[in-house]
Formats: sequence, structure tokens, C-alpha cells
Amino acid sequence: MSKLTINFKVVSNKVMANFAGNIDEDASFAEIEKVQEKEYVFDFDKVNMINSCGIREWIKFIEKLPKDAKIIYQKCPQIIIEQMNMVHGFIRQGASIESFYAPYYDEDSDTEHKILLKSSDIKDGKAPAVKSPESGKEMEFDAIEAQYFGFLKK
Amino acid sequence: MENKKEFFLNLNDSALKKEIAEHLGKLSNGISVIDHPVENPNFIIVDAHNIEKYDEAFLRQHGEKIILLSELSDEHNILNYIAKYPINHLIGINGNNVILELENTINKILSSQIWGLKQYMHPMTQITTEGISDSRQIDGVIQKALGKIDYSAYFESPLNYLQVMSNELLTNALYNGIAHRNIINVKEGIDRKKEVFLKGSEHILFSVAADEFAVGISVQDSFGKLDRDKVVASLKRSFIEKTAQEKEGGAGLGLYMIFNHSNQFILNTKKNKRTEVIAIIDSNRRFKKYRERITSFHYYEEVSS
Repeated sequence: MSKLTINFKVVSNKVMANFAGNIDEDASFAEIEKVQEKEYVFDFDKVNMINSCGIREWIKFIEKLPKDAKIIYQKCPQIIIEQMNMVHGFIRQGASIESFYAPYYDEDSDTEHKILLKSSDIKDGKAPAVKSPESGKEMEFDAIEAQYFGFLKK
Repeated sequence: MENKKEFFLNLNDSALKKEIAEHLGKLSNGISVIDHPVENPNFIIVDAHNIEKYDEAFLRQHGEKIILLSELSDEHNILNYIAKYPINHLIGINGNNVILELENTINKILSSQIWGLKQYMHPMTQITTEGISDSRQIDGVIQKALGKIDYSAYFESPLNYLQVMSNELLTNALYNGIAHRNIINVKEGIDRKKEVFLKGSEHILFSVAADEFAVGISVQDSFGKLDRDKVVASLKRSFIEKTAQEKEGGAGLGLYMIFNHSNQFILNTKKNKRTEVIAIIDSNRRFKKYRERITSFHYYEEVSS
């Protein structure tokens, strides 16, 4: 398992950060904390794991960002979505999830696909229809909608 | 004359009741299955409907006799049964193989052979065990052991959940064990950023195994400080508050995460000698089924002779 690496740049008052590896007790967000900006865009696409100490470090980190900052989470993997749903504080006031991965099941090939969804795709708590990249047939959303999309109500 | 253990089956589902009665009858000659109330049975296998018919005083006094088959949510099960009464065995009714789980539970209770993953696996299953002696080894040992499992019978991401559970179990065992040894307040704990080392005869063992029904991990330590009260208090707090704790040691969410990510959560203890936590995930290709699975809770204690 790899330690967390953070690559970020500031473009017109917006911090664009990419995270890769594990968010755990050793995760340090000090470099981003120093940059106090109006907007933050966090890309979690390459995050492999987050443990309980990592959740605490993350919550402490986002609490240090400016209170009126706009915070956007992008490409949240399933494991991050699960933790968001289980623990309060992962999504701060003013933060929103722009996109995230969700499991879909292709019955024909007996295969699970992680599909990148936008939060705006979720209407009335229902998963959008997604077609299999292999067969073109509609796949089944493979989680409990009320549970998996719980973070949208936070 | 043989002293048979009486199991009262207090179940509404007559088909399940019949199936359980047949299996228990074959399990051991020392078991007597009863389908009507008797004065003082050794064990009561009860469903979530019928347990509500017992009053609080009965559940407080006789909770240890109960094996609850529950269809209710994990949160409800922990807050309303496990945290309130001394019920040590709760089986999620929608598991892949409820009968096998019940048999394992009864075998462990009757035999007092409580330790290890072997109880949960086919006898021919190979169990990989790695020792840990310092915090720097944790990630490598997890990678090595979990890398040996074939996940083709599972949904796409069991490895992610096994990694999180293994990490939480090993860091808890190591840091909390050393905090106890050094007489540090375990509630405050040791900073998880610090490197720590076991010494002398202290040991932590990490085991992994998989068969056609399940994949399991086990973390055993030589401290024996984690007990039912501590586990249940942690789960209760986490289910109610759902927050990380701000303190020197862990975030107070590890056991909650392990419970949420496992299908069976098993705690084996021998006070001040040994603790083992086992987490099992049922074999299945559907993530949804994994998530729908009501988590079982089992607690066993080996009493010093």
C-alpha cells in the first residue's frame, strides 16, 4: 500500500489537487493548508484506501480551510463514498461531491463495472441507467441506493 | 447418563426451524433440540420477532444463552440487543449459509476450541499466517498475505475492504497492546504516527484464508486486553455519534469500520493473555448482496483454568 501523494496547483483563486495512495495517519495536507483560496477541487481518483485515522486527518484538514471556501470533490472511489456515508464530517459545509464511482453489474458477463457518475445524474435517489460497455445492455446498479447515495443528503 | 445440552428453537419460520433441528440433531449426540418452551434450556435460538416477547429482566439474566437470528439492521442489532444485553451470538439471517454459521457457533461453544480461522474454513484450506513485530511491517505484511487470495468468486472490491479491516485490526492490536504494556491510558493511546515495536514474548499474528464459502482475516495478539465490553462500547459510540475522536491514539472508528465491512465479526478472548478478532466476508459476486448482508456478531471467551 502506498503513502499518500498530493499534486496541486493554484489557478485563478482555485486550488486543484490530485490525491494518490492511502489516506491514513501519515497523511499530511500541510502544503495545501498554507494556500488559503476561495475554491478547492479535490480529485480522489487514485486514492486506494482510507482508514479511521485518515478520516480524522481529512476532517481536521478541511476544517482548516477558509469557512466560506467552495470545496468540490471529484472522482470519489467506492471506498471513499462508503466512509462518507458511515462517518460525519467528511463533507464539510460548503462542500459538494461533483462525481463519484458506483458499482454496476453486467449479468451477461457476470462482471462488475465501476461507473463514474455525476451527482446531478441521481434523480430522486435513483441510480441512472447505464449500459454495459461489452454487450450494450442495461446493467443493474449493484448497491443499495438509499445507502450508497446517502452522502448526497449530507 | 449423558448430560445433553438443550437447544430451544423459538423461531417463526417453520422451514428454517425444521432445517436447523435436522442439522443440530446430526451435529452432536450431546444436543437435544426442543421446539416448545421449557423451564431452563441451555441455549435459545430465537428470531427477531420472538425475542421481543422476552422481558428485559429475562434478557439481562439469560442473554448468554441466546443465539439470535436477526433480519434487522446492524445499527439496530448493536444498539438494541448486543449493547443492552449479554447476547454473545447474533447471526445475520441473510448470510450465504446460516446453517453452517450456526453449526460453527455451536461447535465452538460446545468444544471450547475457539481460536483461529480454521473453524470457518474447509479443513483442506491453506491458512497464511504472518507475524508482526513492529509498525513498519504492517503494510507489507497485509499486501503479502492478501495477495495470495484468489478473488474471482467475489465482487470487484473485496480486497479494498480486507485491506482497511486488516490495517485497522493490526494497528489497534499493536498500538493498544503496547499502550497497555507501557501503562499508558489506552483511551488516549499512542500517536499512530510513531514507530512502535513489540518485545520479548509479545506477538501479533495476522492470518488470511479463503474457501468456496468465504474469505477471512484474523488478528491475534498476546495482550488479551480487548474484551466484549470495550468492543461493544466502541461500536455503540460509533453507531450513535458516527464521528472520529480527537485524541492521541486511534480515531475510535476502527472497530466500527471493521464491523461495517465484515459479514461476520468474531471476537475471541482469554483475559490478559490473548485476543483474536476475525472478520469474514461471504463469497459472492454481487456488491449489493455484500452490502445487504446483516453482520453477524460472535463473542467467545476462554476462561482460565
